[in-house]
Amino acid sequence: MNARNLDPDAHVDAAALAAADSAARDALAERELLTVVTVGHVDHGKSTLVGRLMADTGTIPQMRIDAVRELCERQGKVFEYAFLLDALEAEREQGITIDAARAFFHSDRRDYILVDAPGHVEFIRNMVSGAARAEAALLLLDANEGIRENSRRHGKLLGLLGIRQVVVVVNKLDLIGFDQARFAHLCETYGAFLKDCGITPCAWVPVSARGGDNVTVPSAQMPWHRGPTLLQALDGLQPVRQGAEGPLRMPVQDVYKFNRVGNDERMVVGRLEGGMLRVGDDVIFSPSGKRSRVKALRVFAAPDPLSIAAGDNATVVLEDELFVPRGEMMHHASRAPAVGRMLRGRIFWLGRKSLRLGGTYGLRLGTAEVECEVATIHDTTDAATLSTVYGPTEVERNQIAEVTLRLERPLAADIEEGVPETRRFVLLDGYDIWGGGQISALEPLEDVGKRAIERVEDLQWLPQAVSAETFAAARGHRAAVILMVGEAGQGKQRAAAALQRALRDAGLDAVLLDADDVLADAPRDTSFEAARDALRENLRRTLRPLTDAGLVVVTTSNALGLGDHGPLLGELGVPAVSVLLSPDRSARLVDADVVVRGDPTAPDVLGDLCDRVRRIARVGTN
Amino acid sequence: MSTSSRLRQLESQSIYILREAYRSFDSLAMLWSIGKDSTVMLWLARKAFAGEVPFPLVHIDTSYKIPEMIAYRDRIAKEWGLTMVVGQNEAALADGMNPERGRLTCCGALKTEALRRTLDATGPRKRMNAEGVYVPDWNPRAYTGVIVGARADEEGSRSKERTFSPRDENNDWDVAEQPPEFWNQFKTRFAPGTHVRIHPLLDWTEIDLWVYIAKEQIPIIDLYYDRGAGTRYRSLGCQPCTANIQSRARTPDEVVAELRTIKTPERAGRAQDQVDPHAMEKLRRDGYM
Ligand SMILES: Nc1nc2c(ncn2[C@@H]2O[C@H](COP(=O)(O)OP(=O)(O)O)[C@@H](O)[C@H]2O)c(=O)[nH]1
Repeated sequence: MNARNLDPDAHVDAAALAAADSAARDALAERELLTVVTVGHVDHGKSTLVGRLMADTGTIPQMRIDAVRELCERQGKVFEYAFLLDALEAEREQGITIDAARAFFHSDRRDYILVDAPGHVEFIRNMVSGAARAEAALLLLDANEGIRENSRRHGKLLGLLGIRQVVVVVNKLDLIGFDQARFAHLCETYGAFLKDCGITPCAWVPVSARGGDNVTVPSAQMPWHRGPTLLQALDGLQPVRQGAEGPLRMPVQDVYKFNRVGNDERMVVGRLEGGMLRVGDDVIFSPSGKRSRVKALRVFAAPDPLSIAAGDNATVVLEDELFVPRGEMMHHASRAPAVGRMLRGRIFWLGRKSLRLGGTYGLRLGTAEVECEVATIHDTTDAATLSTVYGPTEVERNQIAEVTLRLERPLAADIEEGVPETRRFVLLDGYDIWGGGQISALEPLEDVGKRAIERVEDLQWLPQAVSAETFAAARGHRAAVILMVGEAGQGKQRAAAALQRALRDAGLDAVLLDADDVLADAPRDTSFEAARDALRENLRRTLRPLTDAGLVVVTTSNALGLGDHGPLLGELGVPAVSVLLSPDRSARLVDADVVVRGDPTAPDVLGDLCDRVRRIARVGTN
Repeated sequence: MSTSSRLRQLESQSIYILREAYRSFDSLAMLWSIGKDSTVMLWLARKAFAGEVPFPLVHIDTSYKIPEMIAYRDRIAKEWGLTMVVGQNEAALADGMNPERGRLTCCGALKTEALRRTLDATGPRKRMNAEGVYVPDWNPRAYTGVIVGARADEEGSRSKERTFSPRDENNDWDVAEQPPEFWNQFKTRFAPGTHVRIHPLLDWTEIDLWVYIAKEQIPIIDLYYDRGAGTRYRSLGCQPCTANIQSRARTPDEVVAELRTIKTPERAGRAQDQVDPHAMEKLRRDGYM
């Protein structure tokens, strides 16, 4: 909370205190707070903009600004709004305390914390660590310089980290003569890039931070701008933690029974991370499936409430004396969470030691803690270089990765947008938390178990005389594999054929391969598992020369399931998209990148697949 | 308080942290300095545990505390049914330690050293019994989890400190190589031999505390208010080293109003901070905070 109306030279005078009233205090207590991370290339005007916001919202009193101006004059320097930050940091005044990482300001609507995220490593840390958890991002772009390295890098990281609310601020419009056409062009180019990162900005604001144009007041220089000012755009953002209208989620934190006189109740405690809980509600605990009804809700030093909402710490008395251990998740029968042991998600890893394929780690989600094994590392992206590797065997420090984890026992969690707290998880290596991520799929354990692929270790491949680079240059794209899977009768071959034609139209060389053909001679007299391993090995050998030649291979197969593909692709080292054709809404997402529920030959489906292939096979990646 | 209001988020987070701490340590204690911060923290603990406080409150008595503080401590302990444990550096006091020997030396002996030895159980501890009398504590165990009311805004930088902050046997903490705190997941796994500081108030500011005190009507000690002489304390400590400020604020609301117009830092009345600009840092490293 900022000290509003802060006047540094006001005398501490008791007479002034007569005005103190509880209404003002209540107004302070009710203020909403939003945390926003500011990112952008160096020198694009981040500090100037933050100084402007603090000054123009009245967070920094005019007297202080004048003082800094005077100081500049005396020292013969041109005043910069960025100096305000330095001055504040040096003095660290009550109420407008800032440090290198945080600045505060307020609008009429609410209070803001702006978190600075310099560099890429700090960026990730700031995005995830408790104090600085950001609910939205301000992406700054210099209108004159245009898109620079960090503009790209930060956009991509925001997408990978799942920050949904992004405001793009195009700064220094004064340097391009407040030219609408150049602004529009920049929005178009950068917008296309951001779209590739999975980001659709909430607003594009053309500003001049130095002149204050469109920062808190509309600019007379840009009458063409119909959208919001920066402050209006910020006020339009939503706090992430709300969720009373979402599904009920209460991870059980503990069970208390204090056995004191007048208090020998068993109380189940935890924080409501989503939804509402009322006395009389029927509730279920997952994964155990135990059921009970809410008898009472307790609070200290106030009448017991009849209902509580997301964000509240609950103290629940149940009708039944159930044993519900920490880690269970309380919810209603409707809108239940997913329960499973195969967890797929995107993680970022900050550990000094790499996260290894096949390694065992602790996983915590809500209040649950389980051991897990890294079953597949689908890909890794380096936060600094943004280069992506497919099918690696470890995730290094400061990399973002898509992984599938096999849990020691089932877990309840959310796999869709809505309740962020029960969708996120962290990974522990030893005593410390070194990684975190977000779940995209959670499924029952496949009963295939874990098997090493039997293969001939000393197999000698005939090397291609023409290198992958030469092929890529000639074709304009690299190799990729598209795996079409799904139950028989879904039309995989028809879909593959349509995709091949669509890829051709998009300028990509693709070949079709029905895996079942090359697998026809699999041994039949051995176990099912062994036969499958052999099939997989055959497929690997058949794929190799095709991908070496830079082709996009579209495979179809009835014999191999999704679970077989992860290890296979890891070995090929070629980017892949797995596509599951399924009419079933509860289709398994664990190891598929795309689930197609409707007609796989529909133009939008094919267009989307072509886009994906083009992205992963683009020359310059890998 | 509305769902997304700052105070409600702060309160909710603090209660969550206290419950996590209680769950994670079987030898847990809360430091209670009698000041407003740790008294708010104590209030939050009562909220977290349905009115019970299921761990001892540890107070370090330098013997130089303002006398009202001790009276207030014992009265509240009885009223709220607290388990009260008091530690003191009896040896240093017998040896005549006092602020005249240098303020930092005195703090080092009567606060830092006393605290360390009270927590690791190598020094004397007294426990209030059912009759309200202090007797030698029967508990010989060191506390492995210690709940402390430190705030980030006292230091200026939130990035250094963690909600669950491990210290090794020497009370040291490694600032540079600690992992970040992810979301609401705290460090609750530890190597044997470490003990942990838990900071439920890390994100609160001084004004937040006062607004909360006003809203919740928390009965903090009245040294924080003007009781007729036109002065009050803004921060509490030992009598010889704590100055009061000119103020006519008689209620929490009036303190809030006053703080919104004031410019000196909160601890300006605390003499030991003025001796050495790095005093706070030192004391913190030594485990005082
Ligand atoms: N012409 C012009 N210059 C600006 C504007 N905003 C910032 N600058 C200048 O750009 C430079 C970098 O700004 P600064 O805020 O320090 O950038 P940061 O590195 O992103 O924090 C400084 O020289 C500013 O004066 C603007 O709106 N117009």
